[in-house]
Amino acid sequence: MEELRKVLNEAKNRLIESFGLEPDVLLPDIRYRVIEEIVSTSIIREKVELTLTDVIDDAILNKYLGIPVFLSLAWMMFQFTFSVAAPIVDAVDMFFSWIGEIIGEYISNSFLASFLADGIVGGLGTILVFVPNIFFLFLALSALEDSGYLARVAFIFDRLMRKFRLSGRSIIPHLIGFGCNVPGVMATRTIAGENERILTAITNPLISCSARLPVYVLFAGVFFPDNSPTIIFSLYMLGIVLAFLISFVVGRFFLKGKPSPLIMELPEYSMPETRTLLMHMWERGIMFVKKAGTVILAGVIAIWALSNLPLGVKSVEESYLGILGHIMEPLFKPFGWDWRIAVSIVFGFVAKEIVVGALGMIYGVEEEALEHVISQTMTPLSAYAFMTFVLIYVPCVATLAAIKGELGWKWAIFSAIYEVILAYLVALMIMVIGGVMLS
Amino acid sequence: MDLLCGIVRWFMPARALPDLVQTSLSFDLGRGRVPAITLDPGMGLSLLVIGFSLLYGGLGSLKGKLKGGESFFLAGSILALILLVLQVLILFANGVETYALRIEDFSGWTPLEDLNEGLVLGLLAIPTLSSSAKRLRSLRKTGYQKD
Repeated sequence: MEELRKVLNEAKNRLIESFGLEPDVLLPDIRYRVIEEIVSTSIIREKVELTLTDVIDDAILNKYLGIPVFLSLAWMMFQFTFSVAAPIVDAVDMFFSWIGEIIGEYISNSFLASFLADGIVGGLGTILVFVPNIFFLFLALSALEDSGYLARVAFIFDRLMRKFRLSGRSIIPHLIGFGCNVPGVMATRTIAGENERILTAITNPLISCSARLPVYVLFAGVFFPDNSPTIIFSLYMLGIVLAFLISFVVGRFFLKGKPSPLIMELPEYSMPETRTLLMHMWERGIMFVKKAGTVILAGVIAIWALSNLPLGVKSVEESYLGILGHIMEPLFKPFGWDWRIAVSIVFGFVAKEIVVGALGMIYGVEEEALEHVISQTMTPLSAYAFMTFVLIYVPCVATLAAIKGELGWKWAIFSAIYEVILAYLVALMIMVIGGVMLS
Repeated sequence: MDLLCGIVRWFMPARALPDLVQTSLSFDLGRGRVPAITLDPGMGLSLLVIGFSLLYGGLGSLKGKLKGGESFFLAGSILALILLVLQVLILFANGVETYALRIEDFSGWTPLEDLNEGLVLGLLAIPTLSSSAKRLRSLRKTGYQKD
């Protein structure tokens, strides 16, 4: 076996020396050349057949225009997700406010009324109002996927990604990560090279999943009302840039070897079908609603209990939650966050969506009033630092479990530690650089 | 200009930009300026990408080039059309917020505010897309000589 491997490696090296290409690239290249030779000698065509895909690809896959076109389409996707979904978000918000009022009016037992109004409606309601945004994001992603464009993104980014020790194929798990990091990490199985697979999996949590959306929508809407889609777009882009940088650093210093080449067949462009789009949107979006009914519901009930225990506390500040918040507060003082904001991030470890629900419960208000309260306690700069921190810090439990399942404990622990440190450093940089720019 | 001003305004909000950009790129209709200049870097980038594709593609197309000409023109026109559809949807959504839901943040909103540069460019791209589609259809019928 060892001898066979030696012979194989020698043959591989001879091929690389003679042709300057990896065998993985060389073999299909030669195969297609032979096919082209046979076709050109057996079929005579005066004119070349024209397909719409060939024409569009000439511009879309252009090495200078490809990435700007992708960025432009990504920005349009976020405009669609936030600006177009806004009326539905507001309607859902009005509904939960109405439910909260009804509970306050008809339930006389104050403990039960607090559990239902603050715990269930306040906690879960603040998260569920963002369901339309998540459905719209999945609708836009499905449209890009079904049109055939998303497959081309891997090709467009291959050249750039190889510089960061990744392959173009890494973009697929990263794009899946925009929905949820768990399938994103699992999708790294399709990457042939071991090093690229590790790098893609450990950087996938930096790709902003839909669970972070409620945090962004809330804070960007309050502090940057005129530019909220662009602010959210910047967070998504920051996540991508950081994922590339971390890949480069880890790949350069911890993992040796070159990325394997990208070979893929691009599908023809086609007009997405409305029925299929709606089906994809529903299948992916409903997962968020189910999660809200299980993990998130359990999380908000736990937070409600922590904010009301020990029994007889008069305010959240005196509760276990308040005590924990005051312990954490000094650590986040440089970012201008009070104990309430600091303690809310702890719950993001269970699921990132819970951060907003936790804030609603800590302040004891619903979404609309929450916007007013946080606008009084933070500046736009500290709010941006907070959104950045939520983007980067420790992956949720499910994502960590997926990394452990794919790569083992070592890489799962590594991911959790590097992300906390990175989140703190980036948030600090934002405060320092932003402070200088605004002064 | 939209992209540059958007970047400056976004990263350095303290550096107030002169109203020159607004006044030089739009017309005053009494109730508001048309097109409304958003000064958003994302919009700026989209306009730059579409503008470049149409210009480069248009020039190449005049020289009779399909690849590096007509193809860029078609891609630019499609992107402009997507931007137009998006702007119309946003206009509709803001209308719902104002007139149906009566959201406080939208009090005083008029449709003129959403008649922005993206919408205008999208409208202008409709004839370019239709002419590009016609040329490509005729090329598909006759076939074309490889560039």
